[in-house]
Amino acid sequence: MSLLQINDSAVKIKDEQQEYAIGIDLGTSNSAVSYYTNNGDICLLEINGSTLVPSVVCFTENAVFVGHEAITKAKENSKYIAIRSIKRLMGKTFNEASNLGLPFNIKMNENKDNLLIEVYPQVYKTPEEISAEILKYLKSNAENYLKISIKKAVITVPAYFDEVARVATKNSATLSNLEVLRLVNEPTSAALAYGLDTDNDNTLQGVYIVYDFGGGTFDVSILKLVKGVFKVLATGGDNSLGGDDIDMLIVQHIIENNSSAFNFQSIQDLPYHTQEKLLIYAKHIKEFLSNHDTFNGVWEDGPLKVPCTITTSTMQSFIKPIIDKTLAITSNVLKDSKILLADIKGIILVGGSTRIPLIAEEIYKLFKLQGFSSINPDEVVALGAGHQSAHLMGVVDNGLLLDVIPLSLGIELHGGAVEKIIYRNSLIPIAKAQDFTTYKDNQTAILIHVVQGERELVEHSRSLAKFSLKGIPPLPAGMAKVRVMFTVDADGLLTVTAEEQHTKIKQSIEVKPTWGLSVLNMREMLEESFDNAKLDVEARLLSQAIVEAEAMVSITEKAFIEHIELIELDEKHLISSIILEVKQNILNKNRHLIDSSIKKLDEKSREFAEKIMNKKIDKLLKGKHIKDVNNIL
Amino acid sequence: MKIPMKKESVVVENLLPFSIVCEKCSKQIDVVIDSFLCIHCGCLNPMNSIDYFSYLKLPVSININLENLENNYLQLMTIYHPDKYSKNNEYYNNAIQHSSFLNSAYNTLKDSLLMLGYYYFVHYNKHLLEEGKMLYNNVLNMEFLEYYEMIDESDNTTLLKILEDFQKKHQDVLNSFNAIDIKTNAELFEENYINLKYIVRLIEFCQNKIGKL
Repeated sequence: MSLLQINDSAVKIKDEQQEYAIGIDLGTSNSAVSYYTNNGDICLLEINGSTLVPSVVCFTENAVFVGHEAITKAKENSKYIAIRSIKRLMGKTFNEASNLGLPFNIKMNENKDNLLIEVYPQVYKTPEEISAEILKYLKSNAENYLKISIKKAVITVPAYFDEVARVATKNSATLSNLEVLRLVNEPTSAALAYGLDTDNDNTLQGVYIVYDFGGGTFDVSILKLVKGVFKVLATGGDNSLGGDDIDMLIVQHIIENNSSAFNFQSIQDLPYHTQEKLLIYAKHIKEFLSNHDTFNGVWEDGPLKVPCTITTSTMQSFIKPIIDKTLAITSNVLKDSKILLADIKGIILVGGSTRIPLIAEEIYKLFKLQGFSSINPDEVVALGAGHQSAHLMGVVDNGLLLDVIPLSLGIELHGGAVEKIIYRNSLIPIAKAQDFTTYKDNQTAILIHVVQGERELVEHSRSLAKFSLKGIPPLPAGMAKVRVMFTVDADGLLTVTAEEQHTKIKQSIEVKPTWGLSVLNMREMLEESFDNAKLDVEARLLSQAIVEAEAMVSITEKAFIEHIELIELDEKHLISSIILEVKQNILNKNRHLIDSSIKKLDEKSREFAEKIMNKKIDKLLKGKHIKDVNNIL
Repeated sequence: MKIPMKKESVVVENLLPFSIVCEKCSKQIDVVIDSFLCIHCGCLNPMNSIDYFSYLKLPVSININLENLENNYLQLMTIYHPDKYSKNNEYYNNAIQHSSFLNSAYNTLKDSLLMLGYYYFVHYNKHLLEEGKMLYNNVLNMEFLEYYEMIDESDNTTLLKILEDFQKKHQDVLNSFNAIDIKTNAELFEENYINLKYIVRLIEFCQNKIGKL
């Protein structure tokens, strides 16, 4: 390591002398920026007296406002809308977004593939564009303060963000003239903030759970810290579970208890500005109840006066299911990491929602571990991003982050089964090769279909890319050997290469993750994969049985034509009838019947097959010297 | 703030030296004692065919010291990880190659089944269970099915007991590999390997079942 500093820092300083990178926590409710000083210290940027900028954007006739200014602006005129929690819509389709009960109007773009949000009467923007406004605001504030131009940034994303949402985040950065140095997972980033600076004497070594419960997302990672190296062991989460859900439940509680005041309407039926005010009020109640036992107040909206009394235990009763859900996810990830609870050194609490005392209590009840949160849970992610940016820019060289891929990658096999090549939670970078073969005689091309997901069948997985390898020499089925190589680099970018081993014909594709998974899909796919593991195995066995049966039938039918002279007529009738039976069973998709009929076919055609073999061997050996025969055999 | 890291001392006994000639300065370096990073000129040399054991500075043996494995892995990763090089650094691609190979080597050696398969591969240059070769041993197969049923019908306390038994068995089989000389008795090695594979599968099945209850 000390060697390395001498060797490559010279190169780094030379080509990146003029450049500077910031760390950005682009959060659902709040965002923050961090920067590094020349000696490698990481600081948070204060904007208008606060390190946290609400992730709120407000579009007016001729200007865009972000943060506190956006909130103030939206109150001025009922035409103005405060766009909140835009992160929840990153990478989502219109259909997915329309199920979320959003407080603003949305529509599809002309190609029907992109979501548009009405940010001002008759003005529509994509989530990327709205998010880019936040980034621009953060960037220009940092530039004003640091007096340099900033071109690069490390941006944090939920560990569970899928490829589409990651690409959308990168697009936002491009729109705001920032090059993304690295997208770092939020829990990992938080751990970086805790670890690298303070662990000079290796006292913090061990395995940690990072429990990141933010405004809109829940993330959990299991990390191991050893000698300044962070190794991610497993990761998981839920992209649409956060503090916002708790606010919503409080609002619902208020409305239900005062239904006459709200004309018996549900929250979705209320006017946008009323909803907005109620949500802010609910957030206030939630924060108040984190330090007090009872909240007593009156919510006012014009002439409307609604008395609100909520006790901590009432709030706890309806947020308990949400907390239970996060704990179930945490337990699953822990199981995935194959780490025993006894080996966990601590739980790092990240995200504003972890301020709710019940969360720490429940965590302690389940894991018997004290959560620690000595760094402000709202700021810790941004600080970690600053660490990573300083590190990647070569300013400090005191750590390394080893990350994993969140979902398995594989290819489609004949018959619709998925062969996983790289499993989820594999350390990256990684390269893995697997050999495949042709299914039919003289097949000269092979289709490589790259998929992502945990399920056993292609139809349940997400298609990432398709390409074909042509020019395979015509060989009998099963003789050609195609080596498929999956390479994932440190940024998580996948490249797939297929190479025929005899001719060395090669074809490769860089899987630009534009085909990636939708946010909802990712969670559904994993949940389904747990629920359907048994069903999948059966489906896979069936698909394999069908492939084998079809191959067997095709070989036998071919032999009928080529070696008609070797078979008796009644023998042929018998075999033909079994073939018919096999075909019928394939149609009926009955695996056990397919297996038994194939076995019967194998038995009854054995004699015929032996005759063919003998004939072939005779032909081969005729007129050959004994030495050659040995070579042939 | 730069924290220089202590250079880890590596156990060198039983290690086969593996020398390469540095691409840049043409001096000889030993990649098992040091690494592919030239100690003379700082050039990160491209990948060279080397077995996983030697790459991770471990003796070619089935008795792997997991602590050494982990330490050597981390030490080498701090040299080979692409994040240690900027994208336009001339050694960036070599770093990707090395770190990918290192991850594969590490994943293989830390898993006893994969490691044994690889150990066989190193000696015979072919995979332990060739394509098409039947994995099943009839006696084991019957035994496996019986255990399978037993596990399926057991409650949690019995399962924990069964799991404990299997884990003990697993250790016994692992230990028994030590008595096998792979150079002279490949069949026995293979038989033992299949046995181990069954036990590992039963342990997994048992653990899944416990997880569900």
